[in-house]
Amino acid sequence: MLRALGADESSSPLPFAAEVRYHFREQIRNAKPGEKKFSAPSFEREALPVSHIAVSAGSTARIVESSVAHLPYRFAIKINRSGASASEILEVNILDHAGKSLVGFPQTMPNPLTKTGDTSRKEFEIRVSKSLKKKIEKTVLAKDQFLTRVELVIGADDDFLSAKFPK
Amino acid sequence: MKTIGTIKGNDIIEQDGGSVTFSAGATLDGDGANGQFGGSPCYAPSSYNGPTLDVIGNAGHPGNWFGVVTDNGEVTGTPIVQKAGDPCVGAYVSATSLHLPGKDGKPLPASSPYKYVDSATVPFIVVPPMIIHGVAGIVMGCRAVVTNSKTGQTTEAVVADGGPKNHLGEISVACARAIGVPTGGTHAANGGGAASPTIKYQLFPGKTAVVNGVTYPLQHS
Repeated sequence: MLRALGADESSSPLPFAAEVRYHFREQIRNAKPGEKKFSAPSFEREALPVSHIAVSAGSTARIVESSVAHLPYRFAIKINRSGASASEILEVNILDHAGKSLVGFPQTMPNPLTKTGDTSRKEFEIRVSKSLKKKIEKTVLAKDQFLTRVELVIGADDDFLSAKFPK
Repeated sequence: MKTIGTIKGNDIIEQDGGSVTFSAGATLDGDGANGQFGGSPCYAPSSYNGPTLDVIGNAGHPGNWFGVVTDNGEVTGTPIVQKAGDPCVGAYVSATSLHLPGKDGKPLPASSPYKYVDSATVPFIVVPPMIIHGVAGIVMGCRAVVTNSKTGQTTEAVVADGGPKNHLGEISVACARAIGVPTGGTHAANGGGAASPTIKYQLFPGKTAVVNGVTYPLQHS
């Protein structure tokens, strides 16, 4: 059983944060012939809580377990460091309201996150049904905007960790 | 000076000298990358053997291609695939709002990969309609300076694309790399960006942009 302690930060995996990104484009209603008819891509975001440390015999983990307002899913993200080898494993699971993992999850891999550079973030696509897509477009996006993709993004760089998210 | 508007708490200011300034985060726009200068294309079919800047889902799917150039200019058309003689054979053609002329100064066809500004190698910024239509000078194609206040890195840029009405702060992949903003791991234009409003933008409507020795045209919108 895991227990939260004031564990030694230096022996713990790097802190990470996670957010859901709702990617979209916007139709340009007044585009003239020959002009681009859709905006550049953009996204709205919903943050999950910053990770906390949990330790158990022989390993230390950073964990995020939470949900967001606009998806009927629960997120379970863990970076586990085993004591002997100090190797780290990233585990990502997204579960529906019945506790069943979404298709493609859980995913387990050597921790790809670094503190800086282009490997400081990792993306995971979240497939959504047509009805959920419509609901997101209605509740998250503005007029003339349509959802193109939903992703879970995990990041360990300072900007990602210190991000201030819209309420 | 006057405030043109505010988007998600970030004021857009028209300075007395005519420049436009704002601070915001930075999302990344891979549009326009067609391998013009040897970089990765933005989008390509699954048969393409190489990296792309963005995930194909952000360009569309058969019957609804909203993010690439199609043969009939409609979302229901077939995406143009670059062929022999084009800069990135097998990739789709991705567009920016800013259009570049051919070497002879005449307009290029919509299907030309060279008609658009290359996100992979050219620092450019994306602005919402509020700015494009809110100032007197021509915005599309104008000079911009982008600064990362966290790192002090700054770059000359060009305004080359139009963004959504409620989003402020979007830059090309090349711009992100020039000022130290993280790009995505698997797809450079996806997953990266600066979330905090630490990026300072200054635009000079009506002033020609010169980036990497290339002079960009000003374009009425």
